[in-house]
Amino acid sequence: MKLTTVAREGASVIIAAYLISLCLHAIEQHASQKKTLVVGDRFTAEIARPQASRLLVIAISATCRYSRNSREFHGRLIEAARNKGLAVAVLTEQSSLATSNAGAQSLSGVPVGRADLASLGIDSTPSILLIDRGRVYGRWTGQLSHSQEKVVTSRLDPNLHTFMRLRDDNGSFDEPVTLSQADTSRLLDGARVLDVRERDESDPPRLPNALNIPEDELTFRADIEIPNYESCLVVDCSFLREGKCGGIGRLLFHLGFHNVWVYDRGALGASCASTPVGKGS
Amino acid sequence: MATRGRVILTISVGALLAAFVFYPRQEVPPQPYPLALVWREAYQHRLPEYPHESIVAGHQGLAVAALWLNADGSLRHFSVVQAPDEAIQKSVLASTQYFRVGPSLLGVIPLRRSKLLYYFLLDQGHARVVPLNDLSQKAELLRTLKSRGP
Repeated sequence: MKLTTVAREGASVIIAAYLISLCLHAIEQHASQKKTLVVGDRFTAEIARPQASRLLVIAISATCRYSRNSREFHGRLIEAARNKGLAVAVLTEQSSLATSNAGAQSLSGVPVGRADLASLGIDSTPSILLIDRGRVYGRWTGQLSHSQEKVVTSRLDPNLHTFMRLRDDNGSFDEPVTLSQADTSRLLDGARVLDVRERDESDPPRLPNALNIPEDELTFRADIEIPNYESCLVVDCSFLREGKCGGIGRLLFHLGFHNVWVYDRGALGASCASTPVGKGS
Repeated sequence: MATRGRVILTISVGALLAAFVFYPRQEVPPQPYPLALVWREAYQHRLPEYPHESIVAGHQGLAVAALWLNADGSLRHFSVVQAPDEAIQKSVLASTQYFRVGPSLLGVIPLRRSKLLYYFLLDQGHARVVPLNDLSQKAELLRTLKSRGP
């Protein structure tokens, strides 16, 4: 084989390898960009009438029993949302449910649309998202308890906020208390507010006067920096991933804080992964 | 024809093999690591000094250093994310570079993310630095602070 042929083959190999690696890298980066939607994120999918400023999104799966168990609550929630002027979208990944009249009728007449839930940042069903001017302000996942259902219904109005008092170190809470924006501001002014996000996480903005102790530092700092165990301690859970707040409440209870309230808590009930073939049926 | 076929085969196989060599490896995201455990696993550490100027100025409070540790425990990256003043920040930064920890006791973790928490305390004329990652020293600090009152 001539030297020029060898050089040509070698150059071709390098160029082809470089192009292939670029393609693979681009594919991997695209795949890793999919993330779970959390409170404060923008919800960019256009699934409701364009003029709607507030939107209720319910993601369900026909094969998930937790979705089926929640159907009655979803129906009531849709009615309440309509009464408050919210646009409503019900989404599923199953094409069979999306085209089924029975499935559509069971959710208060709202047509069930088909969507790639994972690409929308919805990783589990059933999921409920509340969106105000394109930004998520409430998110709940899974089959919810009665008190959690009350919280969701109250939060249809973004000017209403809910507080729940931690009852014991098992992470159970008393019934939620719903307050207006004005009453919420008054209550927060008089309480010690705790923000457990990392230092560089400030979107959505922290509540005024909130003490920032990142979650992993709570054990080491909470009892040093919050000397009064009996005073009202409010944990801002409005931005936390559903279910995380219960663990933080338990930790604070264990550290000796027995007057712990959580603010705008999301919830994580039993749910199914949002894949085209639902689990947990 | 046989030569052309050999060339195409060589290019294809070579390209696939080289693609794996050239492929930019994606950074492994750091895994949060318990703060108390990272302190227990350390085989060498130096407490930061309480800078004289901070003592004179009466500055006290919490300083936090953030660490990224490789699988073998070597420091990949560290920075001071909170400190009562600039002198304390420099002191914590200087001491953190001597922090040595072995591989994780929880198994092989390619990249760990943890923190070192130090409380700079002026107690009845004495300047003390308390590592809060050590829960027994943290408990002693808590007793000291409670005995001083609000």
